[in-house]
Amino acid sequence: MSNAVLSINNLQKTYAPNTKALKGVSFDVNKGELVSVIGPSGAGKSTLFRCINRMIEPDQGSSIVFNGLDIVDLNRDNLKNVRKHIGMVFQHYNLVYRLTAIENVLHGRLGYYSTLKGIMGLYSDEDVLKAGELLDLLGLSERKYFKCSNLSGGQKQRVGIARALIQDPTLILCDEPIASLDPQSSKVIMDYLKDITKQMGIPCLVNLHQVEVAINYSDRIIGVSAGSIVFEGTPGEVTEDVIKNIYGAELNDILQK
Amino acid sequence: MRVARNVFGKPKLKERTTSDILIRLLVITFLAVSAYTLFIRMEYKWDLFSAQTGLKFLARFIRFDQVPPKMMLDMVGRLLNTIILGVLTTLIGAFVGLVFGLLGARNLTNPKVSNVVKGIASFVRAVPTIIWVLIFVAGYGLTATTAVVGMAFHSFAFFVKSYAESFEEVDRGTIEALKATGANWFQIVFGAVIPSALTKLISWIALRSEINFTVAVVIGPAVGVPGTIGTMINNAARAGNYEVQGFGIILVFITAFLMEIVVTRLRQNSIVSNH
Repeated sequence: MSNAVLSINNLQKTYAPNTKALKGVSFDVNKGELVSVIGPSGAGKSTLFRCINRMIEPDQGSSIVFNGLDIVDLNRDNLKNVRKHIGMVFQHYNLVYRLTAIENVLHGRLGYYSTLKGIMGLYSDEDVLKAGELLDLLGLSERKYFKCSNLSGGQKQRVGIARALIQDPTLILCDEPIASLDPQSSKVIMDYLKDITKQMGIPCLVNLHQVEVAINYSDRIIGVSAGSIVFEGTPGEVTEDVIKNIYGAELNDILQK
Repeated sequence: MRVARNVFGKPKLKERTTSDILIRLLVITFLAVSAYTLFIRMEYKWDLFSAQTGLKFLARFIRFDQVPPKMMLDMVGRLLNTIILGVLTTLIGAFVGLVFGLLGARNLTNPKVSNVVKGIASFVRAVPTIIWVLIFVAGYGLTATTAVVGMAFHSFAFFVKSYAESFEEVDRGTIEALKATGANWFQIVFGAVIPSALTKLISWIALRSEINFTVAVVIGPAVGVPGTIGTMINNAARAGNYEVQGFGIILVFITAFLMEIVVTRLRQNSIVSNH
């Protein structure tokens, strides 16, 4: 077997009888790789991401092999087990804003606790220390006990990344992690994601709107258009023609952030 | 070019639809019925409301110095009873309502369960609190417990609706994020949903305490629950002790006013500090 962490084969998703969001998508994500998915709005990028941890149910006949298990066939308990190992980072951070940064990070461990312990928030010393270390690592040492509503966008996203990292993930899915951030915070976040893939060896699948960012940071780029993969290759292989094929427009006509 | 205007000079900015016509018809009907009732059907007995009688009563109402101190203390005690009745029924309703509010929230259960729970709550809420107390009194006899159960029952339905709606306002993404980490339903509810909605939940409790206090005042004389300030006011009025009645009313007024201030504060905070 190759060193693929995630192997997607013929992934299809049909919403209504005539709206096919994904028309047989296939690709692999390997260990230590940062893979970007680019494409216009409505191309099916978000659907693709949510099918991977089955927040959205893919169609029958799709195959998503993760850690040797086909996610599509799993029952509820096994699915929860798989979700524990897939971190997810969101465009709108999706934190509980009334809680502190460290409390939000610890939410990433909930899946490892019994229902009662999770409800009471009886986290182990080990996990609390780990959450602190992760916040240190992401430059939020001073903000550990801050309510998340008082953090800036970039800081919120770093809390989101810490929440994904504490899961001990085998893969991290980032759904437009920098779409709501200013250019400076965007760079900080992308640098952290790069570090995570290279130093911790956790592969990241990143959904991006900015072609330039994708070219600068990715090991591999996947171009999606109208529910199908229309390009797969290294950043060096992204040419004017490729962009035109993905977006239906010239690179010069696309506003670069 | 001239702009089309109506009789009052307001420019015409939209096409007239059937609903506009219906609204207009409704308003006209309402005005006509009101005018008919006020000017033709009603029999007025203005002579009963002479200013002299009013002033005479008012003078006796505010002679609090004629209320014996022992009576005053007794009344404050009854007032406390009434406040406790209001708060207790609210808390019981809130606790049971929390459980069913979770089942009623569309984003936490399936639509069928949500509809059934909300439907039952709407039915219970449609019947006024006092009627529920009367129903329970008819079934279980007249005790303070019956009043508590009847009032808590209506509060419960109030909380199911208000809590379910507060839960539904919790950001979908936050719930999704916890689901994605492999957390189960209970962990999501206690980790994300309740913390996010907490200030709203508390402000609903405050609001309902205020409502239940006024209900508790009225419920005494209406149903005959002994030991509440309302019963005392009622008895005083019947016996012609207007100064006692006046003092009771002032006590109720001050309490309701203070509660109102607290509730407004809480609600403002919960709206302003949203995120």
